[in-house]
Amino acid sequence: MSRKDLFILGSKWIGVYCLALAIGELFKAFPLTFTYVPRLRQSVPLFTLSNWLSFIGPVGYLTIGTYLISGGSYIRDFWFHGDDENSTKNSKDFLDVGIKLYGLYLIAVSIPGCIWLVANALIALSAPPYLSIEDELEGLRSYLPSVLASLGLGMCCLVWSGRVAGLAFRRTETGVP
Amino acid sequence: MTEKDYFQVGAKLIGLYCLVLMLPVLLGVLSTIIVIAGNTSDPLGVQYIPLFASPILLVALGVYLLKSRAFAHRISFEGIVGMSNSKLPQYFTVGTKLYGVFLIVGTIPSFLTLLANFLFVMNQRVRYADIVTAATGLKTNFVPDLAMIIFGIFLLFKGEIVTLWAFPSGKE
Repeated sequence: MSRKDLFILGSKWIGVYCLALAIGELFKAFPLTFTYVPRLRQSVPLFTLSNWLSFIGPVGYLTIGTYLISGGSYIRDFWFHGDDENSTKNSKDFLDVGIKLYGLYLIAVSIPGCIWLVANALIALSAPPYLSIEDELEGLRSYLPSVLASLGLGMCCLVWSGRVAGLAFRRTETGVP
Repeated sequence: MTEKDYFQVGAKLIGLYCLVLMLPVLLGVLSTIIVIAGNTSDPLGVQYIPLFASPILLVALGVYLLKSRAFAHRISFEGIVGMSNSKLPQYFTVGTKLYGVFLIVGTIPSFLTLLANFLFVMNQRVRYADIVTAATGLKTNFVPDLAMIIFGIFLLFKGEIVTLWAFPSGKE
């Protein structure tokens, strides 16, 4: 199996995982939203919008899952430029693809959180002056580093997977046991 | 190795995971058992059934997955019409079905705990039990886990549908 094939297989499995996450998140958001709908109708429109943002998670996971399962051609072509059709020769190649897939997993799982964060920040910043948004901003500030770290680590794994795999198997390649 | 062989190896590994998962679940339930054993005046309510069923179910599933050869044969791997000669769709189906088993097994403890919490409040003979369950979310907390288990069952028995979606007419 070539490195490209392994990546396709792994990315499609990550897609299935995202679908499962979407279902779980959807059933978390539905009861909450519809329990409070009568109350939300009487509240400030900003709160109503903020509540509907709980659907960003499931919709985001569903979109990413669907994209990855049905091809993910852009990602695949971006990381494999046609020179990876050769079969995986050694453990280093497997590790290289594994690190790339881990990077893809980190990015796929972080994107909905990232969108939720940006949308909530915009809502908090556009709140009327009589509403206190300090607690909301504090929560967003504490969530921001973990999301950015996951995205950054995911990108690093995708970009430098070859170097990390090379580092891990340096001894074997030079013949040192 | 055929796809059934791969599935069998995966199922046995999940069986082992099940047995390991049973230990923290059992330790969590143990304190409740001690409290009930020391308090004979409190009758054993229906709310304890899911709580105690959790480790028992995990052991039973773990032993079954680890020992049974019939499990892999019971799960059908339907030949997918229009697939190319590539092994990718077959590998994908095996992985999807195994993920289904993993999803079912991994979600069972939290589902049963949340179900026990719901039954505990509902069985309290207080006037506003249903209002409390609704307000604290206990009425619906177990629904996401239930949906995950159903999705796991779907993947286990109908994983080929996802494979047909992922690899339409043999495109890789």
